[in-house]
Amino acid sequence: MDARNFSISSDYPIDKVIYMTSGSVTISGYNYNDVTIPHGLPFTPLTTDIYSLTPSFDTSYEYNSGPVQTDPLLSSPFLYNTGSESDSTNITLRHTNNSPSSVTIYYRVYGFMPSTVNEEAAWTASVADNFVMNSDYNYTKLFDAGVTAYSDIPDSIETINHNLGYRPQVMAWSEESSVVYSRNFTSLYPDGSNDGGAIYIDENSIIFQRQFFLFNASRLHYRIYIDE
Amino acid sequence: MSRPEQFTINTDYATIKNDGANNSLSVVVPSSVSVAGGTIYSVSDVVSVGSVSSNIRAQVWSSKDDRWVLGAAVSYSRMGIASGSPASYEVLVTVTRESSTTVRLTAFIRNPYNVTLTGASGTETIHAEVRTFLSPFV
Repeated sequence: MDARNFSISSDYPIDKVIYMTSGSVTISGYNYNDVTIPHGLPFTPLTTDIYSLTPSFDTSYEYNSGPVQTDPLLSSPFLYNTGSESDSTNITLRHTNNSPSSVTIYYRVYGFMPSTVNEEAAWTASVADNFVMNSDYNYTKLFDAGVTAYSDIPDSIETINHNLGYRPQVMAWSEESSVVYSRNFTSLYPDGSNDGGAIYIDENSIIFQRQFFLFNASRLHYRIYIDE
Repeated sequence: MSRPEQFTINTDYATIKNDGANNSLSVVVPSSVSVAGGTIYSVSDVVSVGSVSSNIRAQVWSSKDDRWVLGAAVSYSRMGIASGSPASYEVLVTVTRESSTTVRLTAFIRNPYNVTLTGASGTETIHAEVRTFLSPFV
């Protein structure tokens, strides 16, 4: 039985979002604005953030994504950099405006419980959409969630075998000095060297390659889904 | 309050929905690529994928690397020729929302030299596969 063909499968957990918040921030041209939010959780959540330039969120960008700069190779590829990081107390949203004009960024943040934690968490369904379950949609089914060992060896590789036979959806976070960072920017060199860390996905495994410039021991949290 | 990870399915917690949409994009950087000094070469592809307010997860593949990489922005180096000598340059690949329901894949090459840069490593095809999902807020 292929669980991908079902909206929900009792063989695999769905994502349980244990933290949600939203807001907006206005940033003047060529400036940045960090937003610090106490999360009130007894653990450090794995957060991810999305943003939009309109409160309707019709066009919604993932963190470290969005409209591309005129010269995207000069510094950041994007007009607006966003990203979230979390520690035991706070979630910090880092926003940078690489454009000359002031901009208002509308952000939405949500988080998961790390695989190393099994704590109580306040319910979040009431702040989500009208239907937590809607059979019009397919729900991401978690195949595996885990965390790699700590290492301070640059370019070191961790391989997680999933043996699904296809490339699954993956989410990942890096943790360094007890701060967890959401990740989706990849910088790599095909000759095998690497200056930014990379996450490779193939039909049987996920390969995490650490950053070349690594100042502290780091480990990676990951979530691998049955869904392609 | 409950321990959410003790339940396979728990309607007390918000979750993430797949809207079932996916699409592929590709661009070709030809072996004959020539970039004037100090300028940027780009090639892009746009497709429709996903519903309004959906977010993307992208995986990128290059015919020169043959491994799929997770990311909305991927950069790597290549060797070309400038003034008759080998010269390295950076390729940046971005996969991002173009509008509420379209996604653009772009490959950028910036010539950091003040002379023309030409490719030397043959034609390169870059693919991206995009899946969309709806955040708990939608």
